[in-house]
Amino acid sequence: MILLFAPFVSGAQSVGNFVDDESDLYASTKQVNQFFRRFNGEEDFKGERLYPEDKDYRNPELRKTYFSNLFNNDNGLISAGLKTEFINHSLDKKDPVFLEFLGGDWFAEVTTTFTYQGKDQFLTLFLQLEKDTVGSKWVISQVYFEPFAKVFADQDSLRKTGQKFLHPMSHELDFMNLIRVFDNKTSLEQYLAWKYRPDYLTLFVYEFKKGNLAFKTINKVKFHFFQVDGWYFELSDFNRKGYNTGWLISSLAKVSKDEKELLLKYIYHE
Amino acid sequence: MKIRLLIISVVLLTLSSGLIAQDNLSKQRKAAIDSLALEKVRDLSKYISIIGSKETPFSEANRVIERTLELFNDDAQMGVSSIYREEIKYYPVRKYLERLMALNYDKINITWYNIEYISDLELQPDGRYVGVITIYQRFEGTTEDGMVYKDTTKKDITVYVEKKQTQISGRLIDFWDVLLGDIRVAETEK
Amino acid sequence: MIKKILFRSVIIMMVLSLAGGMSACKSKKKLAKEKEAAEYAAKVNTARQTLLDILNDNTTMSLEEKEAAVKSIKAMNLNDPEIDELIRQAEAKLAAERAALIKKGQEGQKTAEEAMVKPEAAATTALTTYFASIAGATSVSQANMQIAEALKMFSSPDVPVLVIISKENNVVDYDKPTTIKAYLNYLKDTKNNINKVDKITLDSTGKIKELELLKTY
Repeated sequence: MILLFAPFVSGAQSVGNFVDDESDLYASTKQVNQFFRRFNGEEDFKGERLYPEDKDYRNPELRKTYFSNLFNNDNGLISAGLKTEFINHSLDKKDPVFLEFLGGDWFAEVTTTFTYQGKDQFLTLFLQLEKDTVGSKWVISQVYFEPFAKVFADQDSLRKTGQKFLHPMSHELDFMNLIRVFDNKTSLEQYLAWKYRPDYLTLFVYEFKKGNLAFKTINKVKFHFFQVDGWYFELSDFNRKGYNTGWLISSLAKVSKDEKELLLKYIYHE
Repeated sequence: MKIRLLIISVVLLTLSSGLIAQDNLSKQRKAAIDSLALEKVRDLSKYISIIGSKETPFSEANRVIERTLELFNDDAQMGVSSIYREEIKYYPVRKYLERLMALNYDKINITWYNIEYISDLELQPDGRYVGVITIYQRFEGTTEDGMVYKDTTKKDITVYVEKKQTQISGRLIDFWDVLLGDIRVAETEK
Repeated sequence: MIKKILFRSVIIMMVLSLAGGMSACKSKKKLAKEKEAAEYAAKVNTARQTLLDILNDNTTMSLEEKEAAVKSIKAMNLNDPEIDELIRQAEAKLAAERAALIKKGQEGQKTAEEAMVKPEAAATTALTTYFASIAGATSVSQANMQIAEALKMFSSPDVPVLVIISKENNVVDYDKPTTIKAYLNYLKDTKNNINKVDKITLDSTGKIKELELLKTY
């Protein structure tokens, strides 16, 4: 695999004049875009794009070669057997799987630092690609922020003995018992609709517009993929020496439909 | 004089047509546009080497900074991180170049690896196409007392491509306008 | 005693500043002279190379173009003995070539054809040479000098330059148009001399009023 990435110095024009072994740079999955192309077999070993009319376009042998270096091989968490099963599924002769940049089921998780109430805090933004009337763009779809989460009670634990409620005949008294709802900050959620969930994104927008939140920097980026039917994988950036670097699969799992919902709740901290 | 007036009074009409989509342009034309974008990145690399070199006179370095800025969008930023501090520090391009020029070394040598990787060009809502080109830079700085600092940084450079129209000598000419945008600079372990 | 020391110090300071002033004066003059010498040396080098190429048949120029090149070098009046000798040899060689053409009986037809393309072809050759010397210049001042010379071929520094990036069937794709002055400075800064002259449009005085280049990747 490594020999395939012997230095390819393109003929007449290239950026550099530096003489050094560049095979590790060629081997590296340098962009998420490159991960897509390699997964799909849509580029050659020089990193040049292949088109449908090219003979190696989406060639299964080409894809198989790439797959061996698309996982974080330092990770003992992904077993060889699971990897093989995933690869075989993706390269299925009758129904091969290809990733889609636009319209596919994947999203970004970005850990950032914001200043909130005078303190630097981690804030997680979830982004997804959205088609616009022309072209596409990344949009913030959800937020997780621990200072917000701490304020809200765990909705799932509210239905228990001793819970507070507005009795079913409250309407006959013009809901005068609402006075008890608002005499205690901690129990307010007990009086909300059962399916209520706090919307951190709206809170984020509100606090930002009020000037209580200020962006500082980006800390980490990773991506969650549910595009391969029955499978989940996470994509992270590995900045290290060697040939197994760049954007690589850092986590892999088989997921049923129900498991997918649970996993999403976990990712979104719901 | 007339020619100058014609050029000064150039009419820039933006054509936001979906011409670059992989299935609309021929492979050859798409390759030519990719090459044009790569050429701007190569120009940037040469300018950076000139600006960073201690052999470049101050006035010359400043002149080249101005030439470099002509390659960029007005609001382009450099986002820089190191191996030990992964968070991104932001600098407007001009400030980044001025800091490069002012680095406190006796001798600086900036070279570039041959590799260049260009992503697909994607259409964005304002009708422009956007892509990212990745290159690698090798920096070596030697202090007065002989200490050498070396690093290798990966540069992910945003490239915007737009079809525009202008008037040259009374006729309308379509051309590809390529501008650079934000650049992510990350120190690598190489 | 102190007065003597002070007086001596003042005199020493006056002498030093005078010497400094003179040396400052002297170094300005010296710099100007050095610049002039460098410019002259570059002209002589370019002329020598062109004449040697003609004498050794190491050029694809037509007979008309070679005659025009020698004429323009002669008009520079470089007053260099070596260059003068090379001019003499080149003129003799070209005269012999011209005579041979007349003898073959082709001159009438060829002259008519060459007369039509002569100005553009000569300009193309000269421009190609300038591009190479600007991109290959070993110093900024040498490049600037070549730029100044090249600009004399144009009706103004703002003459438009169109660079073709792709020509497929009847579809032509261009890079962003620029001016000849900006383009020559671009060559100086990047040394990226990959664009060939594709089409030259001359005005009524024989100066270039529009230039099209073709990118060769």
